[in-house]
Amino acid sequence: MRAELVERISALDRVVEELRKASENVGAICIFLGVVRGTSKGKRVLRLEYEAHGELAPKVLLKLLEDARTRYHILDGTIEHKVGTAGVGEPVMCVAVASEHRLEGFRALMELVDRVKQEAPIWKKEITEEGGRWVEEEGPPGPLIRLKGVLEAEVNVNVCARELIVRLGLPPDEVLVMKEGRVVKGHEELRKGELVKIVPVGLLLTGGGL
Amino acid sequence: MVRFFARLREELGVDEEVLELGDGATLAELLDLVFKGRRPRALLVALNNELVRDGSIEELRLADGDVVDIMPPASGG
Repeated sequence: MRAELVERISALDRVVEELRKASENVGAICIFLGVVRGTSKGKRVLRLEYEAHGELAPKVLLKLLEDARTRYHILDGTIEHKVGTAGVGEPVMCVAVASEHRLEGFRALMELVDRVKQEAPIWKKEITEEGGRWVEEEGPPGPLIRLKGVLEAEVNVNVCARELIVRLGLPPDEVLVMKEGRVVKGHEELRKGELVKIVPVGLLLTGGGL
Repeated sequence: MVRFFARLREELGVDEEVLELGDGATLAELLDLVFKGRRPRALLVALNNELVRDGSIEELRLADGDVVDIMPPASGG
């Protein structure tokens, strides 16, 4: 895992090479490259100026990668974020993850990009023809739903439990899959036609509704 | 010592300052002093280079030599 503030985002082939070497189980490398857009709210952007907390930001970014490893079982990950002045078209953020399969890579990448923007102590000032202003994002959107009770379902494809949760868009550390009265391990394959229960972890701990 | 970042540094017109507080003062009391009782709703706060969770601000007590970083909400990317 590598998280850094940089003056210039690394060439992507270097990032790919670094992640490809993480393990022989790497089957997918997903990359997000953020680039300075030339317009903002109808105004022409001249440049962005990035400031970061030099000691804290890399620690926060590394923690986000560790969280992604726990939640999505990614094998390795890299985050680089630019500091200083960036012109239109310049890459300013690179988030890349290596995983066994594409799906956990896609999900981890989407979550990481959102979390970098919302949690890392990094700030941008947008300079347009009309002057400069510090950009501040809205609060985090969070998951679409939080499961409050047990969801009973028939599995419609052969899929492992972890992938089932991820494809449903549920937070992997907040729910468990149960089959025949026992918790199914993340890598365990579920077969088409099997009946499962998707259970919020909190409910399992209290035993409510089971 | 208190350090300010990005928009807050510009608005307050200061990079850092040393503040004297009474014994056992909390982080919340320090923020009230800095913002004259009108603390912004969204802030990132770090104590000695560790982010502080919102819920801890009221209880966390400060010691001599602590470094508190007061930052606007994140806006990277």
